Amino acid sequence: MKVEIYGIDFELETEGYTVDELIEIINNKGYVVLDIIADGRDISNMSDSEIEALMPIKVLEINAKKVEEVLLETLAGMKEFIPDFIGNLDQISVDLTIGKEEEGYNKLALAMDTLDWLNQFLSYLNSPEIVIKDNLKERKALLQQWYETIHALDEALDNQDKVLISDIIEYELKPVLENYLKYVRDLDSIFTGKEGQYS
Amino acid sequence: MLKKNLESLLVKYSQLEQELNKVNKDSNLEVFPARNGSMTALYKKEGKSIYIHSRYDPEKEAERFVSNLNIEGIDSIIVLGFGLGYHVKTLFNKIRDKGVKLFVIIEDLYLFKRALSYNDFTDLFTYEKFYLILFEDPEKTELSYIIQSKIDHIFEKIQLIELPFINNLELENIDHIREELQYILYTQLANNATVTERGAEWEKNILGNLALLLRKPGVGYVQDCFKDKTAIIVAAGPSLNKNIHLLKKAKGKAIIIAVDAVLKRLLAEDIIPDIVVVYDGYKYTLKYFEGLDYSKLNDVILLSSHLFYNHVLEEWPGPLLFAPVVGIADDLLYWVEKTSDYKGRISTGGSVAHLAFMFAWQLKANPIVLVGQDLAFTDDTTHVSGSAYHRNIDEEMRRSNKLFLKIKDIHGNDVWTRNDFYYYLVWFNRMISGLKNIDKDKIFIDATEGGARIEGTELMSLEEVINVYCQEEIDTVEELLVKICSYKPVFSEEIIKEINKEVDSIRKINKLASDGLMLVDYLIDCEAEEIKDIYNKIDSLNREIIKLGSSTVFFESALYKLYNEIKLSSHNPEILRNLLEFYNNLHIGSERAIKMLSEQEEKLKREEKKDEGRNIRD
Repeated sequence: MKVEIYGIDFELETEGYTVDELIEIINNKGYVVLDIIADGRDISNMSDSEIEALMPIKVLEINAKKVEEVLLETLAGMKEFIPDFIGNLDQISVDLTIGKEEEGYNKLALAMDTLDWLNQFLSYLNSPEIVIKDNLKERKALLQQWYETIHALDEALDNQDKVLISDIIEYELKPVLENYLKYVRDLDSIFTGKEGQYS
Repeated sequence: MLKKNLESLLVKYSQLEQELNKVNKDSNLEVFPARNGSMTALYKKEGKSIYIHSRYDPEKEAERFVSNLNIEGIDSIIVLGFGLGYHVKTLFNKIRDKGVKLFVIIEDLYLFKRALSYNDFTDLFTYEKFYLILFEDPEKTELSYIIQSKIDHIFEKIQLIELPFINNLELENIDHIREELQYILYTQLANNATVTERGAEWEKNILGNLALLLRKPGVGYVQDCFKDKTAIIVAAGPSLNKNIHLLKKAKGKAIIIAVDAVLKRLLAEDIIPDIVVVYDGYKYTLKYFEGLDYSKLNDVILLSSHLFYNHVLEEWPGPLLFAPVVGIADDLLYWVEKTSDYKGRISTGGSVAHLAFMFAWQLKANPIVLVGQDLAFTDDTTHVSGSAYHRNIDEEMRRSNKLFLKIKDIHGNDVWTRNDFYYYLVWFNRMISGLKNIDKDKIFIDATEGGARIEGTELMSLEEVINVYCQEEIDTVEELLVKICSYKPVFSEEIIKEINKEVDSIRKINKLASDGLMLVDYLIDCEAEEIKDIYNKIDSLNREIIKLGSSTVFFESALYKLYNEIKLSSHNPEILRNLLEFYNNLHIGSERAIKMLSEQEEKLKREEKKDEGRNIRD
């Protein structure tokens, strides 16, 4: 199997390693694997058994990027996205309470996907292998507020309590998203300040 | 606060005092302060909690709800739910100056009573157009009756609003209430569409029937005439093919009341009905009378609404009996009855079979048997063969712009129907349930042998019906004929003066319409500084038309929709086109009304002379 790795600036001997092992080495060097292509086919999200079924692979391409670069891109995207997202949340409450329930719940499902993405990012920042020299107290407070709000929203959704869902969106989720945005901006200035706060 | 609210509430709803006194604490409901200090409420059941109002700011939540409602141009709002009253109060503040009617269905008396302790509702309760309905009250048809008795059946625009928490309260009968509210909305839309489409035609027919209305009896004259005798209502559903031949056996032993659509087919089978019913004076019904063999109909009573074609009524060889339907040209009927006798009224759901059915009820017939009343496409066909509108379902679906749906037939199987048939069925279901409350011994039989399941009817074959209920010869039909034929018109000469008075008013309207046309014309090309002045003149002219229109029986009904829009405001340039159309239609309509009224006056005078001649000869 011929292995080609793009986006890394170190030498990597690929001979004798499995795909999982290669990914681990790349990650340990401070990179994120963006996608893995086997004979022109994206296998990034495939299970081991699915990959096994594709064997033998002739050419394996791995695209990677420095974690810092990915973080910066993500933060830039979030800075633009979160204000619009907050602005669009009001319509969910309106739809849910004026009889456009189906539309409201559809919009809410999309919003939940976004919240999931934001959630994953927070979890990632909070994972033990990542060390960020940010304001830890602020991050912990945001995390707590964030998880409490998402949990309350989940519960209200389970009960289909439209009034409560609207309340949570208006009085809990929007403020926590504002805090989230503030945190993202702070983090972004830490990174763009090149203060070497990430290791 | 409670005392103050109660004082204003009980002025109009004194019966509520007892109800409110009886109210006990509901353990499922918790009322407590929200974060902003106002009260909010929580509904708890089986470990589940649902908020009725915001736990942060109930007023703001209500404001957001109300500000997103589109209620522009709405005449009546029906709100399902009250909670602690925030939504209703906010809504009321938005509509109070617009004269909009506000119906509020209270879902929970305990919560309502608590609401009275926290917020001032005195303005709402003293609002002239506020109507309160208790959720527990409504019987099968009472809710629609309460609301429909307070609204214009045709032109009123209604908005239904269900408060956001209602769905979570797991209220008993909520589906029934929603069904009722949808029914009100549907009938209103259907009435409006029908009158918009057919209003002008109906109005011509009504005016054309004026002299006949005065000279012929109405259903009020023959009430109770068929007590405890069998009435068979024959409609034109496809299942009639199965048992039409049996109707001969029922002749003379029951009264056979046939709808217009089935008359030709019955005659082809050599079956002469006792009564033929006509309702909708619209062009498609004329087909039922084209090429009809009138020679067989000398002893057949024609039961007609006041909307039907005058020439058909005049040509009918047998006796004529009017069945004025409720809700259409009521003013005209009252006006006619002012100088003659009461013609009676029949309430229908828009179908000629309803008219026949309710007539049988008014005759006090028992049992009332439905035949050919499929209300569905039995065997995938629309009507009985031989009917002018017999088609197969595929063709019907291709040609019709109506909605189609599947319902349960008499055997519990799915059967296709159309939305108008479906609502006819809903009307039967509701009406039979209501009539059974009035007379529990009344027997309703569906002997269609196919089609939709009509609730409250016993299913029997026509053969069984004949064996059980049509064994004895009866002479009541003959007596009914004699009674109708011996009717003596009772109108007074005052009617001529009344007609002249109406003609004078309509002439004034006609003149105002011409002036209005000139003003609109002038408005298009006038100088900017003149606009305000002309609008004021148009306003004052419209006020005059409204004043005259509301006191004139023969006001052009087809114009009402437009006329209501014009009432909103003429200071809107977009409304100019509507105004032009309004004045034009008013001008044409009033000229036609004057002409037709004059003809009716002449006709009455001629008939009067004939009567005098007859009297002298006698």
